[in-house]
Amino acid sequence: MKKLAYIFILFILTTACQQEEFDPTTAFTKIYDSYRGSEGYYPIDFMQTSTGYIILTGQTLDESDYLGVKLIRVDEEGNFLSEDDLSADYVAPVGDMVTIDSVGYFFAMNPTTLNPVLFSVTDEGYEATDIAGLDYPLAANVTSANELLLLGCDLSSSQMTLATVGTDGSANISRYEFGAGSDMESQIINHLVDPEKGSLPFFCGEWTNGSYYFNGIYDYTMSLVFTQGIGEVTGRIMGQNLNGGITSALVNQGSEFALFGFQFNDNFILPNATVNTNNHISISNYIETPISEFKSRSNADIVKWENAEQSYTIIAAETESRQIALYIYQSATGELAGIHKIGYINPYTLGSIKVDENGDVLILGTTYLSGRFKRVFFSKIPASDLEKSLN
Amino acid sequence: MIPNALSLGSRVLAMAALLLLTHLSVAQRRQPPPSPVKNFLSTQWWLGLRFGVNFTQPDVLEDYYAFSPINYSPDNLEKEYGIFNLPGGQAGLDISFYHKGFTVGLQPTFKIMRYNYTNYMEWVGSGEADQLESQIDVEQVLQVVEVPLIFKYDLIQRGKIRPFALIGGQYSMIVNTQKKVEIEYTDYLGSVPQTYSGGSFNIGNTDRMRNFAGVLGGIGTSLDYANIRTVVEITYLYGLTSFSSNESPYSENELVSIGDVNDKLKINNINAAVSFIFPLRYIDKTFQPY
Repeated sequence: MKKLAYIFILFILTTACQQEEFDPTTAFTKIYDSYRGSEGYYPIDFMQTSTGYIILTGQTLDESDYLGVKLIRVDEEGNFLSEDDLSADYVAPVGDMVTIDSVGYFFAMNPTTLNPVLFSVTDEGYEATDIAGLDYPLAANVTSANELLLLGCDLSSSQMTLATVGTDGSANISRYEFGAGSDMESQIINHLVDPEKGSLPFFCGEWTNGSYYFNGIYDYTMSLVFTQGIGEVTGRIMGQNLNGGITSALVNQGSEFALFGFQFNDNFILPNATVNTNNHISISNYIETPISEFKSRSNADIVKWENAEQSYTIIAAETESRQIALYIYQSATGELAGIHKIGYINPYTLGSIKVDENGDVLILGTTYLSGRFKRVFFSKIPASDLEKSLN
Repeated sequence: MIPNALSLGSRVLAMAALLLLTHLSVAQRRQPPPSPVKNFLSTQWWLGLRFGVNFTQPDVLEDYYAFSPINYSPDNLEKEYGIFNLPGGQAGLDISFYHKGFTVGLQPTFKIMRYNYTNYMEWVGSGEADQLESQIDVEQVLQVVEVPLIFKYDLIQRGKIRPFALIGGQYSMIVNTQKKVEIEYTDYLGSVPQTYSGGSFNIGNTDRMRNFAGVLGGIGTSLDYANIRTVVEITYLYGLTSFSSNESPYSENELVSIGDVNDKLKINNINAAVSFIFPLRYIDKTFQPY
């Protein structure tokens, strides 16, 4: 009995002295709340810095129909540090927010000139550079030559514009006609001023060295257009007016893409589709069984993710239950390997998803506090948690 | 002539010698055998059942918030905890070894503890009409197997009523934990504020908890009536370690969107218990202690 007592006391003392600390940078979900009920946020993208993260978000404004521009700076644990409200001078921010040589870049718009404005962002602050000769920025990406790729439109001439933009603001521009038909201009304006109802899935990128793609209006349809450099169109996936098209795309390798598409209220996923980039092919040739879980016209984003065994494609989109679902596919085979859900009780919408150097997944989006107040949420899911979702 | 009486000093000396002789003679006498009852009770194993109620005091070691406010103080997000306000219950065994006033005992117990807290939130717009308040009431239920080791000393070691004091330590193993959440909104949209339910949820959160330990002290009394020993005791358990999981509390969970995340907590607990215990050593007809 005496020995038992000694062992028990020792056990309790050992337990009392146990390590109780955790690393709050490994996993977090933060919601950036404002006490002002009238404020609404539309988070767009984020970048990682040496001290934390910078979140780019649009914000509803009383004085403008366009969304204002706000940068929210948070630490490595996701805690709010400070914000830069740029809405007095700039509106209509667009993603992607890309990083070149540790400096973040994104575009917004000068509400007076309608010119795109290139922002360079660091922990220390930001700089803004007007880009002349272009209007209405719609989407951006980075090229292999460490330039920015900017998709925009010129409503006065009914043209999409694709430009490579140097970090100094110099631009090389190509223009692409909307094509026969009408009313595309008002649809684009709706996209800019009312993203909740009128959002269109504009995006752009580079698929092989010097060859680009953009998802925009071409030949009067929402099309995924492939170009040779900043110039000639080589092929495309034709949508159905604005009722069908591609929502998000990621290059697997060569002309093999992971695609998330829509047709009217249906959504479909192609985790590794070989796309004919040299022909004009209707989206109906790519459509597979619709996935009923996703809500109509859901936003979507696609990233690569790897564990020790193989490479995966994560396709994130919004569900009918107002959650965010991560569909995890084996990149090589296109087999669905797992599903991970985010969001409970209040609705969640997707802004952006990225994978950091440790394989942890970062997700940015909106949640509606008390079912009504649009607030930015930012979540870090450790790679180990995603592993648990794999079957 | 009668010789003078003994001097005073001699008389004292004689008295002392007499007392010494008396004492030695008594000391040399054979001790009478102890009574069977006393012998029976001086060293004994006891076993029985133990029941009781408990009240919990959550002790916040660190506040955690799911919301990261951009234009108000995080202090507004602090939870308001209830203290010793919700009863729990426990039942288990009482195993003890008694020897000459001291008792060492193990009391493995299944225990249910409860505590609650409230989150208040408020959003305001440009006018009074654009105002919403939310109140989130959370009740946390912990089911544990608790193993206290106690050292007890009987302040009175004879008779049918034997008060005692005890100290010890306890280790609690989490079996299951649940949160019961009720949301209530008050909307100032109309001229009369409208209060309505935002729903209620029961969510298991065992994976957010871990085993914990503490020390305890208390008082009580043994009552030897009705051919059974009844032990009534009140103990205070002081938590030494947190029962919040070592994983990040900020990781994705079901309640984060309503701003609920567990603080880093330990718990203190008041227990009132009654045990019905029996001696384990064989009792024959010779011994009729009660």
